[in-house]
Amino acid sequence: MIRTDEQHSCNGTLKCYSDQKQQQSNSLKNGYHRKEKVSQSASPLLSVQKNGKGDGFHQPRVRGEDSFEEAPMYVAVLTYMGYGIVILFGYFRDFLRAVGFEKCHQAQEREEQKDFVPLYQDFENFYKRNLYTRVRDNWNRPICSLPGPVFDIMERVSDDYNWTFRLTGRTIENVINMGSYNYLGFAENNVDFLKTVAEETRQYGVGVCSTRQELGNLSIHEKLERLVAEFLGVESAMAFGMGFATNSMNIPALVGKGCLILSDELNHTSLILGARLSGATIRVFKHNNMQSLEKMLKETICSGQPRTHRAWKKILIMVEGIYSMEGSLVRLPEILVLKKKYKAYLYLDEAHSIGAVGPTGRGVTEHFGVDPNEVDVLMGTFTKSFGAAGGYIAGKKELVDYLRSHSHSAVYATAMSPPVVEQIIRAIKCIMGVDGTTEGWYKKIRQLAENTRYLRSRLKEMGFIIYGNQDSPVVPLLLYLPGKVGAFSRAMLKRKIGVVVVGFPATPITEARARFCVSAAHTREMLDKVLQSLDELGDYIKVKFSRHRSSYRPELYDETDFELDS
Amino acid sequence: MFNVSAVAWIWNYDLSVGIVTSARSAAVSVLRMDMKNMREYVGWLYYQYLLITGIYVLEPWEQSIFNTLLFTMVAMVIYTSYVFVPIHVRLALEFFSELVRGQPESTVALMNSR
Repeated sequence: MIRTDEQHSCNGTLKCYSDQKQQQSNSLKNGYHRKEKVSQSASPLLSVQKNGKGDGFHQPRVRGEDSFEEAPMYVAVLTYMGYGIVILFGYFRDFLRAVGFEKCHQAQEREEQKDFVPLYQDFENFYKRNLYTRVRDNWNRPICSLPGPVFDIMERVSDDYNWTFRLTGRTIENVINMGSYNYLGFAENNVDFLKTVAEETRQYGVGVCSTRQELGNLSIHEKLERLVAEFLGVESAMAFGMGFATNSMNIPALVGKGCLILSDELNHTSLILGARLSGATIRVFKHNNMQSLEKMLKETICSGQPRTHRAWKKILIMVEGIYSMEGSLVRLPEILVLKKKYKAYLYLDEAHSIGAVGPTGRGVTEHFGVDPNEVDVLMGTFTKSFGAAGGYIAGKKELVDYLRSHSHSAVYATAMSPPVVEQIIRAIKCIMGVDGTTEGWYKKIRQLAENTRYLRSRLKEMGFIIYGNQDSPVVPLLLYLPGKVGAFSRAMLKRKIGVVVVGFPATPITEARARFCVSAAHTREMLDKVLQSLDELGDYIKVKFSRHRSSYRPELYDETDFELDS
Repeated sequence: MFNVSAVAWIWNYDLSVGIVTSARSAAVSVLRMDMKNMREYVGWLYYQYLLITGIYVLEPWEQSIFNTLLFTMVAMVIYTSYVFVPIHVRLALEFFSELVRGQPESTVALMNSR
């Protein structure tokens, strides 16, 4: 726990604010106490930006800027043209299916139901029938080995243009894996490392057959939660069986009707679902844009709840550590300043950033040199960096104790399985360096950081458009045109590299991309092979759109001028 | 989302750079009378056309329909320009030269000369 003390001494001015925050954490109303804080609101921002008081060891780092380079104009025109042509052909094929020239392979209503409200006429189904199915062979590829840095794919072909597949029986071996969220390389089946997992399985078995509240609270669960709390540097933590369910089932327990949720534009579906299930009022602010967030805070605090105009019961700002489709980092110090100024709570979803950023893998709080006790609710998943399954919520002891009794997941969901829990425990111990080897926190984390920097800088040099922060291990490479998306994925598989390409519903329709997830288990030779293939393929398909001039999105500013507003 | 004001006047620059470098290599290979390279290059151009128009994802018979339609339209454009552009250019030149020559004359004379 020495580390948190050092962080306290680095951020001298922020420390006194955290004391005051604790006194006010029990207050229910927001928005009417601003006046006494006005004169002090300028200084925490300056101390965050300039950081003159660090004692030299854990200096808060200056973050690199996120880059969102824009493509040349002709790329936008061609993208729209390509989508237009394929949509026209989609209408043509739908006409043929309606007339009867062609058999409809997708589900259809029965004859008797043809007069009912149509089920399959909306754009989603049209898109699925006519665009997605044509390139469907690039997704859901069956894998027949463990998804480490290399894996084996079962070869499958389609005789009727991707409506049905059949496996040929052959396997494509040693395909380099650039798609798995294996940031620290814990997806391994080395028997020596998994000895403790085998022992715990022998002791506890595999199934728990009960919820945490009934008979499913095993001692290994308590051990895990203590370890997670120690790892993050907070008071207490609670673990759940599924990462998605952690968000969607716990946000309704924290906020309800009469509360306000301010969520980032590009938040994950689990956060959006949790927010909608809670019944609170939701406002969306532009991605990573502090001006938009502050404007929204001011407006909503001034106007109050929707019809009654009373003060909000709670204001919750929901952000993610690393956004998985963009690779951008959250602007944590600025959000903390805003949060204190406007008395809001912060919910930080570190699904991709825990274990993957920060000098010792503690996530974005360590990356920015911020005390984790300042964030009210720290959420994360064990699926990505720890090679297991599940999620956690960490924070103050009162918060976690409240969730133990009020969360839907704790009451109704089955408890986590013991081998999975032991895998998380061994992974955390490895990262912390407690298990006696230097494998974890020195080798893996440094290897991940080196691989990330190497891949990103080389890709930028080659002329691809890459989004996101220079430290994030999620690397989106923009492809834009619909034809190139399918061609890229197939060509990479031919060169024995497995990539994930993402298209319309998950990204804006004109920004299709290929997403690379760097792993600590990738060796320099693998990365070189990937880079060489990308170089050749980039020239052959012509996806090197970068003009070596990155233009920031106009809404992002370098200077934040909060003091002008107060 | 896309920067309209920035590079509209060089919108096809990157495309033409790629094609020029490939064309230069193709020109060199034509000099060496290497038909295989030429065929590969034309194949690559066709592949680029498939990718850019989005036709790449369609089934072969749909590609044929689109190619036929496009070829027909391009042929019609070429035929129309071959037949009508010389006439239009000649008429325009006549009109402007009449204007220059006919400045001292009155407009009534201009109308009568038609």
